[in-house]
Amino acid sequence: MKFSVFNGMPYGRTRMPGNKWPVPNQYFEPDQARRAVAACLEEVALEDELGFDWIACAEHHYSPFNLAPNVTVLASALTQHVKRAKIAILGALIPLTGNPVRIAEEYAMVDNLSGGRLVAGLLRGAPYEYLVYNVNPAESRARFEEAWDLIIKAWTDRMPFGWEGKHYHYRNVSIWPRPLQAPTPPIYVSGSSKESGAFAARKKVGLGLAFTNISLAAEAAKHYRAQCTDHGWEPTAEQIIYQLPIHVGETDEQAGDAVRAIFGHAMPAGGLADMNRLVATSGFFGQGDTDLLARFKDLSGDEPRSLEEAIERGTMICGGPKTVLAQIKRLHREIGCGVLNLIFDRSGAPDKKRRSIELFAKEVMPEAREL
Amino acid sequence: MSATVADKFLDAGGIRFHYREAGEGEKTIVFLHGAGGQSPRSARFLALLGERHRVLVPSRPGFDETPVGDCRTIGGVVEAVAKFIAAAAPGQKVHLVAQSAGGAIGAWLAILHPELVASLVLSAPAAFAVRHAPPPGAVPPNLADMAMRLYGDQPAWDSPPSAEERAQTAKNAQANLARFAAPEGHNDLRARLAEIEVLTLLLVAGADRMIPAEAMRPYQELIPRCTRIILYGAAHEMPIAAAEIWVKLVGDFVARGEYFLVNMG
Repeated sequence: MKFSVFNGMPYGRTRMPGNKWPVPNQYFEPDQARRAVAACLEEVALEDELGFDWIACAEHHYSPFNLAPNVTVLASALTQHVKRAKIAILGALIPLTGNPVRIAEEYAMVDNLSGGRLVAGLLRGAPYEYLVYNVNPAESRARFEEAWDLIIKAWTDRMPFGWEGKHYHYRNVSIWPRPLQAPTPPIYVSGSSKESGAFAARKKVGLGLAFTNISLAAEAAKHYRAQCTDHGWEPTAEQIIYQLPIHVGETDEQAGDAVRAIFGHAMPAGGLADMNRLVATSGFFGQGDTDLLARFKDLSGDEPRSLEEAIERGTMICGGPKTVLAQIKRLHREIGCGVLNLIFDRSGAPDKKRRSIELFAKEVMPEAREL
Repeated sequence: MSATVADKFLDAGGIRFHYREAGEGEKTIVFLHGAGGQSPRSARFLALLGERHRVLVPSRPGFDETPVGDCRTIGGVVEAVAKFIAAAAPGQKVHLVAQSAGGAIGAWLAILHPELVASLVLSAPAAFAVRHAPPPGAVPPNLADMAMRLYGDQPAWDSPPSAEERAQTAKNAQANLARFAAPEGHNDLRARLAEIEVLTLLLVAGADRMIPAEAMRPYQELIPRCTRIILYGAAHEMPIAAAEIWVKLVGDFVARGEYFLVNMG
């Protein structure tokens, strides 16, 4: 099994009262932002030294959750601080910008800057992201698939070409640099929906499962594998990523106490449930994803009410090293994931977070790697 | 306002050509059809293309109502079409738009008769696809599947061709493949593509199930002033499978020449 640390350069908590999205940037404080940047870059260097396989980041907008509206800018910075691990962009939201060729260029640049260590997530995004650049969510699937094909073409075609599609139009494409990895970097899509799982299987790429739970993820992974079989191939374990928060303490009690103190407040962006509902009910999901639509209609009812419930539902890993190892074994067994993308942000205190990362790397990862 | 499409005849070089004509304009487009001959559902794209330009669509010797005459080789067809152009658009250089099997004819015309050609559009050209004449007595292709391969799932027509029309198209294609196939792979054409001096637009059908993408490479690699555009999701017969965007691209290219590359809104 492989282990990725998600580090999207979190800003940290704001002084904003209430729970809104977009988060008004009147609460942006330059000194805190400077600390967030420094902490992120220091942490990724540590994580690299500790032997994590991937350092991951992702595009998100209009909140302090991640300071990565253009994720390739952050990934480029990471390449200069992470010398060994792969740089996983999980990912850019390719239907949003209106310029997939620019995404192809930027990813290729990150692959070059990292010496061929890019893991390329090409994502559709969560529903609320469609409020960022005023993109019609009902066009999301079609935009995603066309953007995808265009990006792959830009990476792999060796002669200039133009493109006349439904959503994207170019007279000349011939990107420099190309990705170092040939024919492409390893590619993942997000796959919580049935449509996405079928798409990943059809394109013979990996699947990323995030913002879900163990039963939904297991179902999505099963659907993906079945679709892969239908398309005549079998994915490796490494082609299924499961993402969730984690906190490792010296003991179960210490870890639990640290997380309970801030449980339910760890995502300062918050307030996304209403926005997700608006977009999800505006044609974002396909007809085959009625379960997912029902879930996004009321995400507030989807949140675990306690740490214990979160662990049981596989939406969080928490405990001392042995307990954490057992929780990982369960995720691996039930989902079949070969990569865990871990968010070490749930303790609230920088020293505890750092210790959690170290404990995981030194006392959990060696045995967990054998899974 | 869509142009009217009319069926006409013209004597040129001893052959009585059947052709279609649409539109008026300073510039003349000569559309060179594919292996199936005049498409039974070409009226819509011809009418659209005719909104800006004069469009002529000759049935080549051996297709539809044009007799084969003495044409026994591709070279003979090229010379016959050259005579048609000289007669139909006297004193003019025309803009050749060559679809599929028409591609080899268009390319040869640009090489051998540069005095007749202002620019060249190669639309899913077929010269370098592996093609063989069907053996005698071969089972005819499934017409419904062939229609999907050619026209995709959103063709621009008011009604699909009848079974009789499809059978005629298939018969045209088989007869002419037998007559004009180049199983050696058009190596003689490949060797001379670099002689094409006119501005060339290569249109590639993004969902072409008739001709593989690799078969498009030689044109772009060898023709000096060639721009390749992929029509995303389009089936092989782009004038019908993706009529509006195909007409827009071809019309702009003919109207604006090298400025075609510049977005003018």
